Amino acid sequence: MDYFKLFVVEDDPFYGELLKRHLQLNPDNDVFLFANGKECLENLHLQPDFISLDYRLPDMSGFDVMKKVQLEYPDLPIVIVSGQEDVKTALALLKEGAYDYFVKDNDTKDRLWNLVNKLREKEKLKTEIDILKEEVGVKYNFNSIKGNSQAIKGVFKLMDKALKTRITVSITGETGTGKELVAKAIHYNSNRSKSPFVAINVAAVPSELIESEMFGYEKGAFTGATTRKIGKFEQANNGTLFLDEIGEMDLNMQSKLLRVLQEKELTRVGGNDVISLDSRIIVSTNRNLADEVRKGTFREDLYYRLLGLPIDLPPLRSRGNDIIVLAKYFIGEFCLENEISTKKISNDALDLLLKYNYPGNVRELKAVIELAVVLSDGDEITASNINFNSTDSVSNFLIDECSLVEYNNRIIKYFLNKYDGNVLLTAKKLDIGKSTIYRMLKNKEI
Amino acid sequence: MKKPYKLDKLSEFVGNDKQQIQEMITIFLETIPPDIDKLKILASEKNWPKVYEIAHRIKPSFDVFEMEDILADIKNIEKIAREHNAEGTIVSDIKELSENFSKIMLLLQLELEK
Repeated sequence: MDYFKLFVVEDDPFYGELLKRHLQLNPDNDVFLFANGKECLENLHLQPDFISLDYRLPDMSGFDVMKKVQLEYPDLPIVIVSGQEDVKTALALLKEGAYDYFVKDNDTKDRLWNLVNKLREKEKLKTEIDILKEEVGVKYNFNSIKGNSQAIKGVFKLMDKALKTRITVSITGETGTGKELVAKAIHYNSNRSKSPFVAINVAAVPSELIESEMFGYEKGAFTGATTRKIGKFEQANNGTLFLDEIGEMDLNMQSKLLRVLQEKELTRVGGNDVISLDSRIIVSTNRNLADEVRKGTFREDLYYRLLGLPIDLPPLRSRGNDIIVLAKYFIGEFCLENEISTKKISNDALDLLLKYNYPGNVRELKAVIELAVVLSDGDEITASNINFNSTDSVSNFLIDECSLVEYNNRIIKYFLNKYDGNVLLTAKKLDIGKSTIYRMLKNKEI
Repeated sequence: MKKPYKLDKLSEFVGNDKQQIQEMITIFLETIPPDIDKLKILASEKNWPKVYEIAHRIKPSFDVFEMEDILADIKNIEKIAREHNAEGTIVSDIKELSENFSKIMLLLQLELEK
């Protein structure tokens, strides 16, 4: 962190010098001493981080100096230091935006010291937050979504349209297609990027807690509510609220959500204050909400309110060569994170990746690649390093893309092995004639 | 004899650095006497707002040196000047303050030679 720039405005030269020297005991403090208000105002271009201002100055009052400083730097913390305790003046100053009010007494030195340390810490945290925000913004820019396929290009087009307005966005897609990534990319590339992106997984919160989780609650609202809690909606004010798995929300909560979305305001559980909201809503689901409406498990009015700009994320199996693009990207990323030199991937491994149907989509591909990097011995990932651990065994079975005849043969062979070569049992299980199996055995088809 | 001042508070302010303590005593000895002279003149001119202003301004400096008697004097002068109600005594109070301070100055000078 750079020097913390402090202005001490004090008309008594001895006391001013004393405060300056005291604050300079911390070598990271850069202290400027001014004897009057005019000098202070003339040096504001130095951009102080904090001002300690004597209330009585020869040329103008501390109050007037404060007001003038605030015109240029409304958020600059200003502490008024006064020789006289005057509650009325103190209250007026605090009301007008003074950070604090000290009386010159035995505690002045320590209070000032502690306050400056507190402000330094706050500034440090603020800088860290800004850096992190920037990093998150970069992480979730459009480049974070890899692929050149027509399917993903269509998604980019829609995302771009979502940036220009505050329209609600509804993202659908199979599990692992990157719904949250798209939601974050929309947020961090929109004009709301400096405000929070708040996500809530509706399916992960028990139905009895979802209301307080979303809308917050007041102290004493229910047993165990020992403090006020700000809900996700409020946390996301001016930013984006991402309601993941919206299709899992129960009907009772759906009606409450609808009301909040319509009114653009909420009341915390157990509270009376009405809180205005201004947040963009992005929802996602892997269910077909229109079907849910037909089945009566999702409110039609809420469905239309949430539909907004629909973005349907394509499954990875329909994204063609994006699989290669993503695989190579994940190899690079994993090698970098683990500080190992990056690996190549052989053509047979790529072939295998392209044939698979990825029920777990991009998330599954990432896991497969990370395991392959770990399993590979040399600087190249080969087909033998590729392991699909999908829970969808049919998908695994179909990976080789054989002919129907060949699959037939495989199935019969599988059951023969399973039943220790018992042809009769195999024929019965597969509902085929035993002579068919004998013929296949004779012809060495199986 | 008990010293009419203490350096503990000053010392704490500057991190117990002897050189800084002496530098601050020097600044104190350079800046306070002219203010006391001004107080005398302003009191003779019955310019009570200005008397209050100066007394108010220099008061914390005496507090740093824990000059209890002088601090009591300056607080009294500040109060009287603000209320404008004891014109008769304020001149003599300032005179007394000035005499007391002159004695302390000599002692503080000795601190610089240590």
